[in-house]
Amino acid sequence: MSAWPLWRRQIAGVFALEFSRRFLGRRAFAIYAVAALPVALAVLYAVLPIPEDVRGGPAQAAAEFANLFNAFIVRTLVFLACVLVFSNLVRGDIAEQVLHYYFLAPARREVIVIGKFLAGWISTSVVFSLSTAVTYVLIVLARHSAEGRAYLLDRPGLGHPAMYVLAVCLACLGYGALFLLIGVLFRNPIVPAVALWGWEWLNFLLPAALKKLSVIHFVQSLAPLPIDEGPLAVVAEPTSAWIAVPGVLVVSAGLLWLAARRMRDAELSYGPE
Amino acid sequence: MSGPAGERLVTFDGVSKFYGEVLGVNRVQLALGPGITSLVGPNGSGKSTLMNLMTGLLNPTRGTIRVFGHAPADPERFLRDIGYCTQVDRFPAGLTGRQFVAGFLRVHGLDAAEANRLADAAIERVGMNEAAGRRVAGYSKGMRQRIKLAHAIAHDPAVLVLDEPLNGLDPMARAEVIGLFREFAAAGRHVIISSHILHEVDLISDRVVILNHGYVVAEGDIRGVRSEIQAHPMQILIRCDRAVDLGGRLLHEPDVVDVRVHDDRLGLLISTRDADRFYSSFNRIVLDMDVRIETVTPADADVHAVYQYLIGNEGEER
Repeated sequence: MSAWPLWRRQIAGVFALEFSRRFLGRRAFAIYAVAALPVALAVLYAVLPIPEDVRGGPAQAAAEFANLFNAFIVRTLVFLACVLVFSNLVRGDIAEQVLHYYFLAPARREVIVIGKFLAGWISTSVVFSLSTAVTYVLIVLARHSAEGRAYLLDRPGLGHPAMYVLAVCLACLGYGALFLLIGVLFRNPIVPAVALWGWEWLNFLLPAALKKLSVIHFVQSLAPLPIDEGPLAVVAEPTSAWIAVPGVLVVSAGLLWLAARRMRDAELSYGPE
Repeated sequence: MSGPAGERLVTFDGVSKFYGEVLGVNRVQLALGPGITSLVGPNGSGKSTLMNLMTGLLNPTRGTIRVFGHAPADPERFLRDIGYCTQVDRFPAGLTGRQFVAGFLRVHGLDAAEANRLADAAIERVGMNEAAGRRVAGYSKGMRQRIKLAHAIAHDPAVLVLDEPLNGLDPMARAEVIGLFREFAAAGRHVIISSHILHEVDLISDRVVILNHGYVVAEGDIRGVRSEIQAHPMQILIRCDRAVDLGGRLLHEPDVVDVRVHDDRLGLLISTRDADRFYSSFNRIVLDMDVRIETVTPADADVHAVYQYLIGNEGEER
């Protein structure tokens, strides 16, 4: 008899538990607050007085959003949220001495890892997709409602926000798998997280081959509008979405496999002895 | 794995566990059958290590562990039969008692309705109905202990492993929980308990495993363990009408090494190297002398005495 139905139910069980623990309780406030920051910026952008001559049209607003998305939403907020959520899925449970409740269930450790990851990925993706979409719409519509509406609905249409949402989901997938593994491997995930943050921020300086050893390169490749990374940037051809998406999926699956393997042999020792 | 009578066993075959160079347990060879088995030993003797090994939370450095023939590497079968109430007094934040029990039942692969039904049954069994809707963070120590117990029994395991399960419980709750363990054992299940409270261990155990410094120093039913301790003669308490006469006669028996007459001259404390032989000659002597016997009871065939003889006062709590 196939084990899939059992695994599916167990993954659903881990997902439900993780979701209620991490995204419905008080501890979820930090994630929602981080995701609300770009929306708050967009509101400020809408209400602060900007001189008529520098305001530009919706296309300029969309270009400004592209910079905000690249520098602030993905590289900073999504990155930090993924550190917070995914590195704690396992490491946080070890620190709180509650991981044994999962380990005592008659479920494969791989199934537990997948359930935890899916809870983190779906939740962060939904929260940051909403935040990204709302921020985009607010920025494009804020100062030019009629032109902005046309820009949003006719040309280029909703394809742009859809690509940003896809890019956010891809970022959560890639960073999520990476930080879940880091949480499994390192007692203190902060040091590797800071090193990775530096790597992601310096990505624009790296040669084309090394750029591909980062999540941000593939996320940028999905962004509908190019951004100017400055005079020092090494320009590389963006990777096609048809390669970027499956590529990040495959690498994330590999990272999850490593985390699951590590978890399979993991030991928990509690008590005074 | 089954024993000679088709008994389902929890087995340790040459199991050792080292934490780096520190010994957890060494060369453990055990086959635990149904009933209540108590693990007894001072702090650091290896009780929790043994429990963590038999529930798959630790991997043995050497040797193999099987629960009903299943290895820890096959958690879907191995853990299906095990419920473990650890000493760790920590819970996932933000959950109510019912969410805690039902939530982890869903990780077993149960649907929400079945998980809720089993959780409610287990919560009722440990007497936590009224508090089940409250957050665990607001529970008293005794309530937390009971909700952990509900988590351990909720999936109706055949092997219940309990690390200091009576900690934090008031006398009434202790009696209820001990009743629950007996009920489990009477249904042919395995109840494996570690406890410092020797008189309670003595009351409830069918057998004991005595550990010291990571080694199993004795195991079996308590009288059997006691009879194997040759260094300390068995003590037998006799209440009778002619204690002085009987004592004088018994001193001539080859297995009797000491006789002490009680101050009221109505009792004796006999020390003997072979209790079985003593009892058979004792019956004959009593008939010959026509002594009226009130009681004859072993004075040191309990967990406390055995613990004293094998381990001494280390880590003892009565």
